[in-house]
Amino acid sequence: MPSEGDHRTDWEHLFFLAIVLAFLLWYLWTATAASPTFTNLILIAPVGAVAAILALYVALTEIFGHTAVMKAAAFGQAAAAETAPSRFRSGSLATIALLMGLFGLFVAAIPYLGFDIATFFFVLATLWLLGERRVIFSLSLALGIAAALSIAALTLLTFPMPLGIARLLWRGI
Amino acid sequence: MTGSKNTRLIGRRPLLWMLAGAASAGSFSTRRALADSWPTEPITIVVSTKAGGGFDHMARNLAPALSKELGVPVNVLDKPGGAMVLGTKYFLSQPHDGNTLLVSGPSPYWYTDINKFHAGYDLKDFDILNVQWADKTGVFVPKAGRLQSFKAIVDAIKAQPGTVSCGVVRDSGEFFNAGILIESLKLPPSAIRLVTYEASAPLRTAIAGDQLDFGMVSLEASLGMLSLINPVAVFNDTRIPEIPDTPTVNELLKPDGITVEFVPSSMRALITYADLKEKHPDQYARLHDAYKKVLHDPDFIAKAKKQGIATDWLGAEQSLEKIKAAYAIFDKHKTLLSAQ
Amino acid sequence: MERHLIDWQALLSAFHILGSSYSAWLLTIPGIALGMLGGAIPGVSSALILAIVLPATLWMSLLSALIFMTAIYTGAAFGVAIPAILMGVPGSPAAVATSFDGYPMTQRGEHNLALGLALAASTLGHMGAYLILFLGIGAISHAVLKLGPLEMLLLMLWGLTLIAALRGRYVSRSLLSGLIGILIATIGLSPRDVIRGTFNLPELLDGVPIVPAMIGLFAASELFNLAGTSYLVQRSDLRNVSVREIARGMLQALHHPIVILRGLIIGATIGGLPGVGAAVCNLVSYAETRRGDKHPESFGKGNPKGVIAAEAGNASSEAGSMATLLALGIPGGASSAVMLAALSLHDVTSGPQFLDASKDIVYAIILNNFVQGAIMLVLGLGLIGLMANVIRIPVRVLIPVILALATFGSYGLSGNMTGPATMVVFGFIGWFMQRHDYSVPACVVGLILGGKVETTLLQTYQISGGGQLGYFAGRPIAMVLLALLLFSLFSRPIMKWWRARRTTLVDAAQEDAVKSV
Repeated sequence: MPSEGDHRTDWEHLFFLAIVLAFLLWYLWTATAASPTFTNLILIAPVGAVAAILALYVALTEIFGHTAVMKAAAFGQAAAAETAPSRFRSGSLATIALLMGLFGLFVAAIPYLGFDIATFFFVLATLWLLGERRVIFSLSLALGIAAALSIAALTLLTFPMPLGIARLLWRGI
Repeated sequence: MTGSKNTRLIGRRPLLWMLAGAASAGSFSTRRALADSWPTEPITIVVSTKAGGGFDHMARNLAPALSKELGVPVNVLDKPGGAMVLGTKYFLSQPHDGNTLLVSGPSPYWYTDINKFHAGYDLKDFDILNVQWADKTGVFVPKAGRLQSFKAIVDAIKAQPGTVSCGVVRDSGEFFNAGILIESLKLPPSAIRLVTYEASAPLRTAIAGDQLDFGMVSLEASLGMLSLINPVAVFNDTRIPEIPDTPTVNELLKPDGITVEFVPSSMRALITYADLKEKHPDQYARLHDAYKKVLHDPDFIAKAKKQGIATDWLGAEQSLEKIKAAYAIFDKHKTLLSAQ
Repeated sequence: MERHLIDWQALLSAFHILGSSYSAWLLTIPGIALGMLGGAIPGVSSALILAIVLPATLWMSLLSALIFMTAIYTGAAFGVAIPAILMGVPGSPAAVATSFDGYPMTQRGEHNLALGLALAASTLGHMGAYLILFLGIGAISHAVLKLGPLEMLLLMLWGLTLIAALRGRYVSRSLLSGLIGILIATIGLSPRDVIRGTFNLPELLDGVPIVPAMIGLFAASELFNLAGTSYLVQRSDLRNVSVREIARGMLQALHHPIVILRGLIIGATIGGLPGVGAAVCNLVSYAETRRGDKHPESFGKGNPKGVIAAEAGNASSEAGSMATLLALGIPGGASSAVMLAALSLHDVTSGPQFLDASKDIVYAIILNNFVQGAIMLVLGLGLIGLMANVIRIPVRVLIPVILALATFGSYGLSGNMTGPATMVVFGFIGWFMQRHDYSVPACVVGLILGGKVETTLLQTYQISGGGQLGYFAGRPIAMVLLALLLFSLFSRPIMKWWRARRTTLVDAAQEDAVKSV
């Protein structure tokens, strides 16, 4: 069992927990406002309540350290340490954050630029971000993926997909 | 344009006749040309449910026949989601011309969509061309169930209120009919244990498995399960030919002097835009006539019947009346909507 | 329903039909290939492929259509395991548990082995489950009929107890993940049509789309995290594709028949429950195998049994859901819902009537699926040999391509931007969760089962007249299920406690014995 003597509070974790707690409380409030009846809240209320308590508990363990809280709550053994620590701790945070940002931007842009154009730029930008420097390769790959997906959208899907220029090109062919 | 005014080779009278003939011929051909110019593009029938349901089936059945009549391809586009709201909204977002049609359920689904889900549209945004296929409510019991007749059910409810379980699909026509039935029997809503299901297939299974004392579910699809469930009553004006021995609910309650004002179950209609008649009267006329023709074609009727699809023609006026009548009954029992 | 276990006449007729219909056979191989390739693209699940080919099935005969669709389903069931193993990115929720041990194996360079294990487990699970279906389709559907809301609730709760088994480093955090998953599953229309948490968006009326959410939680988050690494397999000397190794993996799977059998039974039975799809069977099989193992802590680090259990559970769920689909007309999940649509397009209402009247077609489908299993072995070996080369592609190329494909798949599944948007949001959430040791599988279990738990809970409340005990008393099946539920929840802690108590008792007795001497 790892010693918790040198426990450092992970503020990122607390931030995440704060969001989770905020969601919990908001959801409980909005569900109750929609219909404050037993049948509506039959599952949400107990689950939400337990979840909120757990969230607070985890927050406390993050602030004060696991064993400290355990002792205070008079529990038995600490639960952790059977498995390895998260793989998600290593890796370049900046790159990951930028990647996540690009992806979010990509999806947000689809209704405006069209799936084809958005995909092209996304693939291009991501390749560059992740270190790909071969220009011809990047351009061809981005074009290829965008083209392939556009063709798939035009031929396979029974409902329309927002496309920038692909549909016009397709009609032209 | 007709001939020149400078021609004097032909006398005035015959000229006038010729002019009149030419004029009518010219305008006739122009009118024909205009009418013939639509449709030129494929037509899409939007279905506001997922593939495979009754609505989708009706649309896919109609599409090839309409295509033949109108001379352009007719495609079916399923746009399910949000209890029909998404598909209907999608339909409204398309250009308001004859190139997009809608197959949806103005009753009972739209009633809930408009009144409970704040869908944002209203009946008056649409022109219901025709309610082609209206399902009915059937009351079914498990083959091995403890209550084997409608009378037994009613007696059990009266004798031990709050012990008889009844299954319905939530916020369906049957759901309303269950509430209306209990009211007609002058009993409080708590007289039956109403168990709500999300779709009719699990409800039918529950009845078949003797999990419920009885269930009220759409009739037509249940006819495939008659080896496991027994029909004991139908909510209709007349008996159903497929199950001729099953009496109607009002037949059964007549001796007690009770008449149940029930709502029809799922009504499936072909729908266009409210402003189509005004903006593109020729397109509206073409659509209307083509659709009417298809539904009166004996081959089409026979083929649809084999697939279990109805081909009723009520026309726009009667269809709207029927829907509004149903809405009036829903309005009377609006408390059922928000009942828990 | 039926008196005899096997209807010999129908069986004979089935052989005859299969023998004379070559269009059915012609479609089997392309179907499996299509399923495998499609399934291997994260985000493109079998439900999407089936939905795409649905209009084409209009022109096929009923038998051909069903064979084509089940072939796609079979191929996809295995296909989704490929990216799960090679990249830790499950092709669909059905391969989530496969990635738990499959991906660590890849990281050790044992990807060929893992792929072989998965292929064998998938094939055996598939064929075994169809055998059960063959013998027991009447029994399975009969059993499903006997399950009322209370029984379904207990089964769903049992599924939820998986959350306890799937815990990561901290019990509290895994529990919290699971509970949040359940709450998110309740967003949208309630079983009584109350609108909850939709921000007034009609797109959310049906709730958060589950498959894009799961793709986001697992796939997107994993892909985000890969940014900055160069290759999936770090050591270049291990970065090879060896068909021999794959074949070795297949043979190794045969050393664990119990694991396969367990997965098989779980899939064939639970897979038949409406609303329970391959994703749940995949997870349940994995969790049960781990629970019963002598070294549960070795799971999640590359234990071959984990891969076998997950894939056996996944592949066998197809047969289970076909049972309820054909015999009762109820779809088990998105994929079988599309098959139901195909049936109705051919004017068939499946259900007991169909089963009685068309037993020979049902048998023909089952027989064809046996053969599908054999075909998949061969096809699979060839295709994975090809697709495993993905590990030679640098990660910086894989990430954008897969993210773009997954976005396309999510759009295809939901028909609008809700899918991709959900995937993005859950991608972010998933990354944070994995970073702080919140169990993502627990959240996924909550997401999948949360809606059904609420529905059955409410129905149980309604059908028992507000919770009156009289209803519960008369339900023996429920009592059995409850006992099983409690047993699987508490058996290990109780055993531990019992063993601890016994040793103290024994020690005390020995001490007394020593003292008394």
